[in-house]
Amino acid sequence: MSEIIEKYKEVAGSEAIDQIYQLAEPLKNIKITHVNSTLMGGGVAEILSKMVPLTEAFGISTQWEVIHGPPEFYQCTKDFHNALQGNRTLIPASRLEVFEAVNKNNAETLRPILENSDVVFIHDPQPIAMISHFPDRKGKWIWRCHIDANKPFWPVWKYVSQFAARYDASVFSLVKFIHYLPHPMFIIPPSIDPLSEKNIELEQKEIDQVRELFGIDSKRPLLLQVSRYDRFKDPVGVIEAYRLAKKYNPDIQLALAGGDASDDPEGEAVLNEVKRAASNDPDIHILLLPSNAHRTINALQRSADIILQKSIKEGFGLTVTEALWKGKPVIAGNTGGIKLQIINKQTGFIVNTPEGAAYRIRQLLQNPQIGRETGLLGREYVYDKFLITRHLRDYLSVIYSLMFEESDRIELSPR
Amino acid sequence: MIDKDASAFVPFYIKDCTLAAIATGAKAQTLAELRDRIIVAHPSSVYFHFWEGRLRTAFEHREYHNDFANWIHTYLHDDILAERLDLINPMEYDDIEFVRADLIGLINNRIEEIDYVPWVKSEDQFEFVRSKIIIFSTSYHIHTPHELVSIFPLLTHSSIFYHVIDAARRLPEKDNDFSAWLSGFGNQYADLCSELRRIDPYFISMEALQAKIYGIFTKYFLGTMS
Repeated sequence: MSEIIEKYKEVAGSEAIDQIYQLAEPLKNIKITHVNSTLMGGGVAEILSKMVPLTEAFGISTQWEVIHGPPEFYQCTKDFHNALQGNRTLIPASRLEVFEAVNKNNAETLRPILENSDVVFIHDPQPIAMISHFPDRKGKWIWRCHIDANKPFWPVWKYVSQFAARYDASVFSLVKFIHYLPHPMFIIPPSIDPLSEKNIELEQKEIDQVRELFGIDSKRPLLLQVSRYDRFKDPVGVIEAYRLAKKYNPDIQLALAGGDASDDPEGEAVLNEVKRAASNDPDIHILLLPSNAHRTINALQRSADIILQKSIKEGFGLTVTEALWKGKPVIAGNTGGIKLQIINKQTGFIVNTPEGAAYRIRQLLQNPQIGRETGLLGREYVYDKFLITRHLRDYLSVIYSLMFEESDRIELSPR
Repeated sequence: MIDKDASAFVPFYIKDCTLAAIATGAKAQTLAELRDRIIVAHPSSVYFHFWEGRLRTAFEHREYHNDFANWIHTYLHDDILAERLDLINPMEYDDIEFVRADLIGLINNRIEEIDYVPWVKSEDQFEFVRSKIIIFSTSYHIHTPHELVSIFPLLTHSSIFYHVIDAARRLPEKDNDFSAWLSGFGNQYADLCSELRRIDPYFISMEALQAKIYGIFTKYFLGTMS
């Protein structure tokens, strides 16, 4: 057993590892390629940066390719993202032409790799149209949609789905995100990597240093939201909740820690809105962190007294999973994959408004025992459901069932 | 699967399982739509909505025992129908098709009782899912029935799901794997087999099911309750 697998066994349990071995054994001669649009920033890149080496460690040849395009391409895919999450976003034909041209160019660049792959995972809409340029493909192509497409703006879904329909299967994070496609539509929640810089245990000294670095008072309670500066994450709503709670708890501080993803052109505009809403309150810390500041984010999460993720739209909400894994009390928006992670009043608290968030902040500050209890259950829940080992097992199950077994019962041989 | 005739000579291999969820794309927004979708649903979808909840976490306490009753309770707020559907115990049926028939009958009956067809918001629709069961080997196996006492507390809930709940659709007479294996030893364990077969897993949680079976094993083999 390789060193990397030994480490995962320690944190995720031997059953999880043994199940992956059983699925990996018949897949050892295949080649898997993952394709997405960014190497760093955002949940997809984070998952792939761990998923790929972990799959390799189980003896399956796996690689990760990133497509490239001009700024207008990313503007178009940001429009897709917003529209699939329900915003009425009309995309000019010229922008769609750029989108299709970029997909065509990347398809040519990646052709030798993709034609040589037995399984191709295409992540999100950015590279989705590449499939059009592989009409005689031999491998199985799977579209992995990480977006909350519960109520998409229909013209954009119609455009995107013309490509999605050509795949051999698709994978969505939640059943609610699914719209009918003419192939098997698997439901696989994403995951966190417990051994990543963002999730490993840290020494208290390092946590204290990070708090000090950002001028956060170590003696006063800290509320934290970690997410990109994106309106769907409702950072302004978080500030509102903080203000409502501060009336009764004047010593609280708020940190908004936003990363910047290279495929998100709206981030700066939202950041300015957040700065205006904060209006120079010295207890609101607006942090703009580089996309590789994983350890800093880890320390911030571990130093927080309460973690918020007050999204109004969310694909899955990996920051919620991270917070739960760290045993923190979590208050999160009633949307998307958050509802899969937060069993209200058991693993955390679901809220719909800034007022609801403020109420839970006050409750948790007055009754820290409640937060400790939900934190314990939250960590146990993540251990069972949302670690990368479970995610890999589910991906391999999809591959196995597409390649070898169409029946509803798959019995694996002992290794 | 346990070969009854040979079971006295073969070890009992503990298996584990997971259900891979596959969306069907079928959704229901009203009670009438729910009935219509159930009529055409894949049998594994009906099975999924009765049993998959058992493999979720133990601390998620659901009001009713199947997804249909829970949806009707939570979103249609029709507790009369939810209670009626909750009493459908798939373990009492020889075939999932008879379960389907009773579901449809009870929903039809309720539609006739009420003067309107209740509906929910689009985001609260019932989503039909089906599943593939993926069965894994584990490192556990036993050679003698006495070893059931020591091994049973080590089993995962999904392992017990496989050997008790899934076994009911694999084995004749809706048997469980433990009884089937013990039967291979002749009449020696007939009382134990009968006791195991009397357990109804539908109305209890996986935790309670594990405790109950473990209690039976300890009482039988050690003469004490766990």
